[in-house]
Amino acid sequence: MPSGDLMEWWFNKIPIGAVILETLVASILIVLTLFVFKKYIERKKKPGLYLGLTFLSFTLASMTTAIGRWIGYFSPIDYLDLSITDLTTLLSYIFIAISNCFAVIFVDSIFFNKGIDFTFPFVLVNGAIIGLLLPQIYTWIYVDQSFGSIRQKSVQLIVISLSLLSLISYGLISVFSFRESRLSTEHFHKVGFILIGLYGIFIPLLFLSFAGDTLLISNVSAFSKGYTPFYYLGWVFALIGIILGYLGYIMPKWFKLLINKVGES
Amino acid sequence: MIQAVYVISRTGLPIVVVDKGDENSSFTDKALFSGIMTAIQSAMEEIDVGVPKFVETRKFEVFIELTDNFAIALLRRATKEVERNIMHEITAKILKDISTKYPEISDYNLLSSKQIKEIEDSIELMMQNGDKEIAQRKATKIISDAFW
Repeated sequence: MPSGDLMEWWFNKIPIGAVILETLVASILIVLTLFVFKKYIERKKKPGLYLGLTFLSFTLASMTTAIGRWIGYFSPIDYLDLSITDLTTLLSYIFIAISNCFAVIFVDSIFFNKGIDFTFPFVLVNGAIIGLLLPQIYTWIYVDQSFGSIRQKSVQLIVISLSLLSLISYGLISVFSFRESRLSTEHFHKVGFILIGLYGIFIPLLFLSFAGDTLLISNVSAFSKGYTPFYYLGWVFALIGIILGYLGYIMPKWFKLLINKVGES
Repeated sequence: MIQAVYVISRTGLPIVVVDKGDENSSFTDKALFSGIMTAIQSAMEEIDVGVPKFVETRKFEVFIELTDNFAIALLRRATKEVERNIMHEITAKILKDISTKYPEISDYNLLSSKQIKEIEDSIELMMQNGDKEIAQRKATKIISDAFW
């Protein structure tokens, strides 16, 4: 390979930082999902199951994109010609839409208890998003595998809609958790709800960052090859959100002790 | 919403009734309800299965707390499972409050209309607070039970 080609090949590689960051987030999410399901098995309470399924779908989304990055990174074919990451990103959007549905069911089981009347519209809209994503996946598989299929205007609209839906789904968790923290009289409950509320802020920030990433790639030529600052920022938000979710929902013993200690002092 | 609170003497007579659902209910209805509740309690006590603290019908759930002199029966339309413990706590709170303020309530110690008014006002306030408390604590309880 001539040195010019080598430079070009290296420049067109998926950044190793992206591969590591996504793998890190996916690994932490797997652990957190296992913790949530462990709680469900111990307590046998439906909200535990719904949250577990929310995390499971989210973990599958994260794992799908991480696997896509690894394949893309080691693939001998330039990722601009065969963009596995585009396919895995589209697949991850489907898992995110499923995750949104379970997030709303989870919120309903905690705060509203209205059942299908409340959750059905959210499930329907997320289902519509999945329905719109399927033809895009079909196109990638059978028509065009080159980089850019997720930068089309139609996909941009789907990503923005999905981001807004995630914002609403997780925003509900956030708003009602903060309200609950104000109403709680015990320090322990207050802290728990504040952390869950913050989790509900940071997770949709990930999706909004991805929407920003998609818009930047599509409209600013300097970022046409992807991996804008929004991409990295999004995963950092996700990492913070996951840690807050772990502390808020799982509340490990050491953290409970710490809260009680601070509450007493 | 809490529908009604009955203060019932241990012989089965209604001492004070605050009914938000049906303010026109006759004394006969109230007396009948109080009598039935007392009969259920007595029968269960008699056959040694213990005094019931909770009775469920298709329309209502009745939460019961007792002292030696009187009982409190709190009626609520079919409650979700998670709210039941809170309802038991509220019923016990009403009992504690009335037994502290009026330790001598019984069939043999008739209350003056002023005292009855005081008890009614106090119960109404506790019913309002109870409804507020349920709204506030439901989510905390669900999260606590499921995760914390």
